[in-house]
Amino acid sequence: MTVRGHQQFDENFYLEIGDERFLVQMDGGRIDEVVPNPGLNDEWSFGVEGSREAWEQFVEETPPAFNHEIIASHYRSAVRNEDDHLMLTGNNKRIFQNLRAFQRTLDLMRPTEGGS
Amino acid sequence: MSVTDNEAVEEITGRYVHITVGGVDHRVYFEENGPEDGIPLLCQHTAGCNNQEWRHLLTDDEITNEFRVIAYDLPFHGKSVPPTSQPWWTEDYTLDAKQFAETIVAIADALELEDPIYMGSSMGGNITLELADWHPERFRALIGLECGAHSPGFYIDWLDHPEVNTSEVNAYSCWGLMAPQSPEQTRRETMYLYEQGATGVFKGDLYYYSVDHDYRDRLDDVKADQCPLYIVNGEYDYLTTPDDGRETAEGVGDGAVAMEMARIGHFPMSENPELFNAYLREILDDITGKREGKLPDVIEPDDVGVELTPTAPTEQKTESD
Repeated sequence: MTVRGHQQFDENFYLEIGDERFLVQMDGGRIDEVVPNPGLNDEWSFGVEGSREAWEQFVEETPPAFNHEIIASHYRSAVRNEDDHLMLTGNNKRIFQNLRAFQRTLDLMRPTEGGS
Repeated sequence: MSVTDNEAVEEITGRYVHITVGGVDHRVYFEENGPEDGIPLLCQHTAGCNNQEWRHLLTDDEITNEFRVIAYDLPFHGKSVPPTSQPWWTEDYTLDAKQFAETIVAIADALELEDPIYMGSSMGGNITLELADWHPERFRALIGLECGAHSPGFYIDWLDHPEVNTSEVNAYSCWGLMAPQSPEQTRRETMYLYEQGATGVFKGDLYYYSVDHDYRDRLDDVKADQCPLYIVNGEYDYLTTPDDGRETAEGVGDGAVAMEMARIGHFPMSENPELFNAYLREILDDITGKREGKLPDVIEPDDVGVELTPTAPTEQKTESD
């Protein structure tokens, strides 16, 4: 599926899943590379952090309420101070400038019907 | 009722009515359907949106056979342009509780509605507390969808910023407020409606929603014993959760009822109209005295005979993704 504007998504971001961290390098709306354990030589604009349990809920085919989308999860963490939801970090302006494509990238982490 | 099963020419009519708020004349657009002598059901849209959110209720003949459904655009929203007598462009649009409640009552008065039921979602749900506090005599009942005593954290600068595509962001910041079980078609339509808002209006509405509205210490002032108050929140609403709704109803006391709507989110009337309209019929039957027994604490799709469609995340993914 080609979506207007998504080819402009060039901001790298990281995913922190429990104790593990992965850098997702974007290039023209496509994932160029996923780098485990990114370090000082790498560059990113923002990230998503959460426990493994929170991520497991997030990627369910039909996720439970409040872990079903990143802004939903972040709100329960950042505003309501609840545990076990994902949380956004980093440059908020970059997040909102790329919100639509970023949300879709995270949605694509979910399994397809009959797939993985 | 199916949301795609409409007559070639829909029965909805649209007109304009002039109201005075704070001494200023406003030209307000409204649409309606239903018998002239039906029970008026006055519908308020969510922050930054417009009355098109209610289009599937306006064409639901199971409801419009009995109720005169009226959905309006607040000033600055949809077809209700800013006031022609004011240099409104010299200051930011900002909505507060007093102005919001006064506008709703002015619309009910201008349309000469007798004992109307008021219903609104999100900011339209929160304002039911002010309406039951300040104007309990004006309404037959109040339905606060996605209503809470306090809903902080959504007065966000990025929703009105020159370096952000705000028409897009205003929509996509609402994506997660909807349930994944709601049909993708109607979730996308809800966001499409959000993309139509004027710059700064969504954020200006959220001043009321997340800053000015705070009834945590004032629930005793809400006179639900004089005007029944239904606090009805969707399972997937992360801003005002069903538990927030229950706490608010408990705080208000006599006359306030809380009900959780399962498998639906913050925009029930537009994200899943078929399911919401079925849920709503239960509430309307309670208001009109047709329902036997109390409303359930949690209402499920099975309770109202609605079968959910496959989840949207699956539909979103294709081979070429």
